[in-house]
Amino acid sequence: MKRRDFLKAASPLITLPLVLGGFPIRAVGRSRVLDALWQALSSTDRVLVLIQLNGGNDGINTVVPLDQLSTYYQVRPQIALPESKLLPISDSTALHPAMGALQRMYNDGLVAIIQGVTYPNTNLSHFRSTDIWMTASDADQYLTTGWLGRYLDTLYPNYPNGYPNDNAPDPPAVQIGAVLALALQGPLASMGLALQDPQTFYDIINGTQSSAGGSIPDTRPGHELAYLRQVELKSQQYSSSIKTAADRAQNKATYPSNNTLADQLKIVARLIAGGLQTRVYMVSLGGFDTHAAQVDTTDTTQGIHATLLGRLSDAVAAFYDDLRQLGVADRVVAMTFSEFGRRVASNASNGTDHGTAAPMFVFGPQVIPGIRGANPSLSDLDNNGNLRMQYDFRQVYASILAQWYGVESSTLQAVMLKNFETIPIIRNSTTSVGESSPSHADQLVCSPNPVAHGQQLCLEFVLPVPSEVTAQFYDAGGRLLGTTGVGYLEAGPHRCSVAVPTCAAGVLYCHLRAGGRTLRAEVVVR
Amino acid sequence: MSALDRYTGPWDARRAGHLLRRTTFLSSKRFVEQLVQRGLDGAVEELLADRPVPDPPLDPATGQTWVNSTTPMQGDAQYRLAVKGWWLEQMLRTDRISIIEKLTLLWHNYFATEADTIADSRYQYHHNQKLRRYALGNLKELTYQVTIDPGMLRYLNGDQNTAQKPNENYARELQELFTIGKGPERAPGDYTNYTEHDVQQAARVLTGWRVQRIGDPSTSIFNPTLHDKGDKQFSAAYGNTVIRGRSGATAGQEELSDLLEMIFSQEETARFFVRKIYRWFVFYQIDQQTEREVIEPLAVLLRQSNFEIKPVLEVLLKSQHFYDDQNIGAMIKSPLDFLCMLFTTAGFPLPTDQQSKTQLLNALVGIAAALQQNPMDPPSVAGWPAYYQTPDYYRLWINSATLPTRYSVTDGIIFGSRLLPRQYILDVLAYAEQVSSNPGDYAQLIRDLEQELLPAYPLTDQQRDDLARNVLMAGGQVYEWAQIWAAYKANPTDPSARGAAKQRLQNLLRSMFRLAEFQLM
Repeated sequence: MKRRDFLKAASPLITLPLVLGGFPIRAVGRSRVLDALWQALSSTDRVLVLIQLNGGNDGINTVVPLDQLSTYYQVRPQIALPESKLLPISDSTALHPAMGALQRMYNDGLVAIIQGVTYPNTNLSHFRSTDIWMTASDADQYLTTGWLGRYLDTLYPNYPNGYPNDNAPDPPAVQIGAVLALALQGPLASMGLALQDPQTFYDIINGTQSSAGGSIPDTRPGHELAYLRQVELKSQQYSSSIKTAADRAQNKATYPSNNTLADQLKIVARLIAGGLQTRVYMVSLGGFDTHAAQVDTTDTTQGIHATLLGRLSDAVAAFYDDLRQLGVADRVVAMTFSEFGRRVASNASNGTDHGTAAPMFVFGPQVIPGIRGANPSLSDLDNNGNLRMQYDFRQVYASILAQWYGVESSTLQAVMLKNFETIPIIRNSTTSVGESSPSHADQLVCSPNPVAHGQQLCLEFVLPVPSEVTAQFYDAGGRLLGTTGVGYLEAGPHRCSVAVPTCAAGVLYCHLRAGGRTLRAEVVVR
Repeated sequence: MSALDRYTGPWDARRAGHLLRRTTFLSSKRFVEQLVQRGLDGAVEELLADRPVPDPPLDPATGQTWVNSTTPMQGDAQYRLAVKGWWLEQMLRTDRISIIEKLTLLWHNYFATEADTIADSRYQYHHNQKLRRYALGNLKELTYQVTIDPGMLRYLNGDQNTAQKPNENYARELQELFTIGKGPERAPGDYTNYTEHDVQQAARVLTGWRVQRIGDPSTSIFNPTLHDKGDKQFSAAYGNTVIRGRSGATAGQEELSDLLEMIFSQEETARFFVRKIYRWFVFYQIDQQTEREVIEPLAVLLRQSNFEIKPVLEVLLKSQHFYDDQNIGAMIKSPLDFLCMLFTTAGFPLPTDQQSKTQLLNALVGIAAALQQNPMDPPSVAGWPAYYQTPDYYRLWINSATLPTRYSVTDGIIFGSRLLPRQYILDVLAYAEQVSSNPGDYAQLIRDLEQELLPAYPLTDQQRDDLARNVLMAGGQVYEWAQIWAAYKANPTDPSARGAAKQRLQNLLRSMFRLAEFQLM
């Protein structure tokens, strides 16, 4: 029995003395403390590395739809990549020629690609859209906490007050760089610690013993002073544990040079392998705002975008090679995101303007490899000539939280502020449909998929006992779009047809309710 | 009494120092005293006085300037760095007390461009001089000049915006970041104050401007054949204004004037400017009361003065609100504030020979960049997040990476470092005598250093005591300081007497620079 399963099973009991890591715990009911503790213990070995691609990555030239090449060459005459140079990863999809290392990772089953990710009414301002991705808000909602800040707050309540402590000796999140992302902002303070190099960080921080502080008045200047003192204190407190972790492990793989992302991931690998109990790392690669000179005029496989994607690909491949050699790859999931994709049509400056949906990459031995969703349609566009959404980025976040960190549904809703349909991304996760002894009885197959508007959808399933069956459809935001009664059916295999409810193009979720069970399937509507 | 009424309280070092720090890159007591003597009106008058624009930077190789060259420079990267260094030199000037460089930095943060993207030191220089030339003038004129500035045209692709192939980049930022700002998104593409349709129409108005790679680098040209000559119909957000399409040599200028008239006649535009000015000079939080009592009346004044900025600054900098105790010491120094104030407070002179000066200024630019404020290369067109990112604003300058870097800068001027050339190590013995009326008296010494280095936020008695006992005289008795100082004064060249005093002062200064209070202004 895994430690986590044991704790989950144990927690509903009334009183049960447990010894966890040397600390006797008296469990009373299913307490928040115990929940936090089992998560603290189990997820310290689960790390998420977020890779921000600043500027708005051109998804169409990153993951190219091979099934629409004629449209592709027509709408992107200056910047389209030649078919012969593309790196296919399926019959209908290929990667940018600069991403050879990622293609190899993909073939090794280490990559999941989520197609067409954005949010309704995508905001085309870098700043606003970055905030939306960082805070996981709606397009018209302004939040001051980040999605990871809210998640980490459930594990480190009241942070920074009372931290570090024996149970949580290390920073909840580490950002490699000199700027902390809004995603890490918790209710009281940022959950992140920014650093560029562990040794330098330690040396400078411990240069002097700081002078006694004295009390701070409840005034504006007082609040700013308190903030400064808190950064000073947290830096001092965490500097040793970070240095210790960094000193304990040495990189084993060769990282590419002249690659700022590789430089950052190199440090992350050492900290993880060195045992730092930090759950989230953030790194970034800038320069994706390719309004002009995205490609070289003489060779579209070269240019700014090719250089950036080459760096991403080489850095991530080296990182996972390193993690594998260090024996920690199974503990690490990495994920890319960017504030938006780019316009379908290229502009006159060999570049692309701000757009909407784009693919996200999720890496690691624990991901369910392959492509989620369909190639974006380059011809069926929204009113502004942009790609249509297939997945809301918050579905990806919710899936990572639920499947990687094992966040329970009530907490998940509190963190994500809404119910988002999850997407299968992580293997053997606690919440994915197929987890508990997958069998035919748990499967719902919908066809055709993708389905067109107005077409009938065929549902196939097996009933273990006779039941009343109802089909319900939800959109990505968890809104119920329609309910169809199928009727009372005998035990055994069934096949029936239902109408697809009226909805925008994108992903729909079919929930088939039968005798207290719910079978789920995802349907792409064209 | 209302927030913008003239301040009538005492005019002392606390208030004059606040005015000095918020409007210049100086903080030293010697400048504070000048402003105290001038009185509130005189001080503001001096700060707001028009100043001649500085001479251009010189090429160390030739002793001549290159900024007016009609062709791009070979090896331009070093010239781009030189322009940044030249700007830092202006910020570090101590021969006058003027708001001009802090205001130029405000407009740089506001009409942000990146030298890396402009990729031509000549445009970078002229863009900056333009901001300075119009900094204290008319905001509509400033916006006009910035719109057709070669550096800006290149930065936001305005030079690629033609009737056949419109590029919306500048038209969008002009409205979102430079003038009216986004309101709530009422419907997809409708940002209350303007719509996506207005972005497209403004882009059409702005078609035809070109940058001349070969030619006068200070101006752009308008090419009427690339201009969209059709009428531009704006949305209801702009009262369905139609800007009449024109042809001919001055079509671009005329339509741009119409466009700015239309945008500036919206009440929201003045408010947007005033909020940015407020966050630059006063504080980042704008609550409802501040919005009502400060922002709104200043926005009205800005409109009434037809967008002349001086009357607005004059009212703000003389107001009760500006000198409210809540605002004094409540701003975290930006990296450039931190660096320039440190340098001028230490009293380091700028070298006179061009080569050493370049070396020093390049080093300072490098430090500013490491502290996350690389002048002329902000992270994006929105400028530095410390001025727009809720909820933290100025606090974003300080995190566990940048605070230690600030420590290494201040440690460096006391003990030496790789960051700065050797001559920029503080002579702490001379410094103590310069700053303190009685350096042999530990309590007086600490009070005087506090006034010079930490004027924005007073220390507690407990902190002063701690500095004396546990830092200055760590391992000894405080009364021994008088003897150590006297021994040094009696025999200043004796290595042992000198070393004893020097080492204790170094520790004291290092700890004072590392106090959180040092980061406030």
